[in-house]
Amino acid sequence: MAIPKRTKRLIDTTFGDYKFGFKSTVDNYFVSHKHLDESLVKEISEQKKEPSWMTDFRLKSLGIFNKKPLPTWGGDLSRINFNTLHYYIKPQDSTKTAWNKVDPNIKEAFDTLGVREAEKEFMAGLGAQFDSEVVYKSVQDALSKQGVIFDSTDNALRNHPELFKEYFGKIVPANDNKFAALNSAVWSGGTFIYVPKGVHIDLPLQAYFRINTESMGQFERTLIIADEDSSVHYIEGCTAPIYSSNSLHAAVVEIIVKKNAKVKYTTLQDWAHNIYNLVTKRSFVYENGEMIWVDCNMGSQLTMKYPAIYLLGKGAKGEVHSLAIASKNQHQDAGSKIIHGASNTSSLVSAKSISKDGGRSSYRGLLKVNKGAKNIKSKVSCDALILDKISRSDTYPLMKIDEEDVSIAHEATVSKIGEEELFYLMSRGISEQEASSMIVNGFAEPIIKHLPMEYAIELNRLLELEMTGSVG
Amino acid sequence: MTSKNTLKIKNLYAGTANKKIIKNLSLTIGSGEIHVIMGRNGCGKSTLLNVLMGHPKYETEKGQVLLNKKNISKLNPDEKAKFGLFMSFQHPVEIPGVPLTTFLRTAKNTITKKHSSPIEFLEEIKKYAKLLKMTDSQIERSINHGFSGGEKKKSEILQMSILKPKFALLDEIDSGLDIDALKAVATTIKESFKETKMGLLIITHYQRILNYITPDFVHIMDDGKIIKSGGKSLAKELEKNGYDKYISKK
Amino acid sequence: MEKLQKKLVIKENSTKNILLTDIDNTEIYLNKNTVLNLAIVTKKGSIEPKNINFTLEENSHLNFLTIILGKKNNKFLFTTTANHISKNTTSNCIIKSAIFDESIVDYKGKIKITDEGENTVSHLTHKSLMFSENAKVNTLPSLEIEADSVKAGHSASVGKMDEEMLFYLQSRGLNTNSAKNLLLRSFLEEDIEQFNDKNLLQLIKKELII
Repeated sequence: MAIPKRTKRLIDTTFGDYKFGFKSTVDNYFVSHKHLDESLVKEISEQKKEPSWMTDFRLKSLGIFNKKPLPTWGGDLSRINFNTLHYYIKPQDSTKTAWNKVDPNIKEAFDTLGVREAEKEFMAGLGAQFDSEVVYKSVQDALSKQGVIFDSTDNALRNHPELFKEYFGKIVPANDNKFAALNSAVWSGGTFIYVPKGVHIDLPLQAYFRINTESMGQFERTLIIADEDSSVHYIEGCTAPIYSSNSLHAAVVEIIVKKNAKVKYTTLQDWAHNIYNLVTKRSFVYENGEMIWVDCNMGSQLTMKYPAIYLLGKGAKGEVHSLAIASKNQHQDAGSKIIHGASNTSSLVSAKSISKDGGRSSYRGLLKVNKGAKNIKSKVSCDALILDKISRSDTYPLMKIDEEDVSIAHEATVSKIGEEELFYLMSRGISEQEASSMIVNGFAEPIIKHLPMEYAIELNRLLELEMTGSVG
Repeated sequence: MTSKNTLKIKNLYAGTANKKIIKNLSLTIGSGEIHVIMGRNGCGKSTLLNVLMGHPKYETEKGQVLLNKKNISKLNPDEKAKFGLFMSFQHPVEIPGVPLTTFLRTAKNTITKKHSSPIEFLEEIKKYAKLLKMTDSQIERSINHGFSGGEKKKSEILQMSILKPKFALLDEIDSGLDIDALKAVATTIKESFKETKMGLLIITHYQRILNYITPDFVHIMDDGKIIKSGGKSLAKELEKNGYDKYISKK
Repeated sequence: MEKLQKKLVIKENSTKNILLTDIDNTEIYLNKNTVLNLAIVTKKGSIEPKNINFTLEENSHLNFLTIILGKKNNKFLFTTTANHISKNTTSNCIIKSAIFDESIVDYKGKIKITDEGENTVSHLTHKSLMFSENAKVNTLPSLEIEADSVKAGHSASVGKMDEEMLFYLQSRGLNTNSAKNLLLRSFLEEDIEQFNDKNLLQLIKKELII
């Protein structure tokens, strides 16, 4: 979500209320029919020219999806009509490696979002997704020479079949939940990263998603494998234009962190306010490995997302830093899931949420210590800021501890902007609105500091923007 | 830069929704004058300062507060600050995540309507920080984060020195300070005072600050109003004999 | 000492001090301007889940302390809810569980503040000390807040006996068992001072003699 100043100004003046609400006209190469059934799934697999095991996997997943009921906890999912969504749209005939070969309309949409600028200025590599296919990617020469694979999931299946098959679907199996099953049946696009032993990628890799066609479902599937002693930081940011019928984003992210490896995965989610954002993100961490999720949720109508860390090897560590901002008609139901499955593991969860203008933000967390996992340390803290009487905040941190050799602490607070704090800042000449904005930014700062600087600055500005008009 | 300013409090009645605290208080402070208010606990000294600065907890029932003939009593705290009023809080709050320097520069630019460059600003902060014997790391933190009581008071005077108000209200500036800190704070207040000739209204807890700062006017407050005013000799007398002569025991 | 009641109504403008020795299904209603000091000290588990529901009217205050000594294979499955439906109320709910042998504590605590609950101050804590490999605790302290002028928080902690403290006591001549008992006792008693009523305090201490 790195948006240069001039672009942002252009968008602000053109669109007022929602920053990125615009539609591009693109000649879509292939549009799937709307009915979700076996023929659709087979068609998708055919279009992608997939091996038969993948087609079988998809069909089996469809069966699971049909059998599973909608979850009754979390947000309100009753209005999703699975038969009115498009499941697969391919805007180009193949992944382009040079930016100038990409469809001009698509290019324009991404240029407006400042995606290419980000790459020029800052990032090591960029993969951009537009309606189900990765249209552009560039990987710096140095990376490919080191044996790093940074490609679309579709291409990875084709070009690295053994590696792919070894890990795909092993961390999030299709029967994990209804939306993982849906994704497993109709997945398309997403990022595949493999980092070989001992390779450390210093600059963050990033990708960019968009949902463009009305009633499009986004089902990207990301798989990241960090081999022993390696490290990588991956950033995803998403936006979508505003539409009247509800769009669905049901992604699956699987991450394996092998011995002594380190993975950091940063998400900046700012989907339009009609999107259902239901994501299953999970990582398995092995001996002395480290996994860090940085999860910022600002957009969508309903987000249900609980980045999970399974600490499966001795000495493994996990951290989740999450920021949720729920505004008018939004429900952010986010949290974390940490399983201590091995001894000497530790975890840290720091969650902050802001509810305003009638928004609802909920923290839902699970902290589990399995029998036999000894010497466990864990700290969970969730703080919520409610800015007005019509907003709501919930906290549901569940702890299931089956061992005695643990040191576990959890705390949560809920408050509003303090009268004393406001008065103090105002007594120094700062207006009420600016003071509120400072305090809110200060509240979110412990999470924002985990973002690369350019994103941190952008998020601070977006927070300020959110605050205008919500005080008084 | 010395212009003559006047802060005139006329027949002020104020308190909370349930309780009247300030009852018909009048006081005039001019530029370059140092006033001290003394009195027993609970007489309304702190409340007076908070009412002047516009704390949302208090309501002004009657009376006027005129800063250079403009009635500022109904203004918001930030507007009062822009008119040149400053209060050093008795219990300064902590505001995590908001760096002191950023906030102070914004405040200064807002109040003076000028834009100082970050480098100029940093130099100015360092000048007063040195006088106050504050460390670099203390300046770089979030507002008052992790500060002891004494360090918070130093931070208040640092802010006052940067913002250069017309009138500074110091609420128990001496509480929580050890001997060295008190000396550093008093020195800085005097330096600031010399530079700007601001009007000072000091509420002292222990009177120790009066060993370093000589007041021009001393007022005794009781039950929400000023009952006796005098010069610096009044302070000495109170130190010797206590309040009994002026305030009947309740 | 009061016997279990299914419904408990605290009369307006009164203060009640109650000690129970069981966790049982109970509806407790705090009328306007009341103070309820409720302590539960229990060693008896149950097979079925139990629920204690508090409703707080304007200007009522709840101090609730549950101390659980879980031994053998006793199971403690219960939920408590504090409903703040009016303004200017406070609640402080503390659950302390010391879990031995194959005992299990499964607790869900909820603080609910409706949009009428202005100026609520509410806190919920669950602290557990584990004494055996087979001890288990599941805890879910939750908050549902719809008002903005509130101060609400919850915390939960699970751990085992502090080895440093144990060593310290032993170095002063206490044998292991005595040291452990001392630490256990201090863990269980540490929050009872919030109750001002001397009578109630005495009764609680008597129940805590292990």
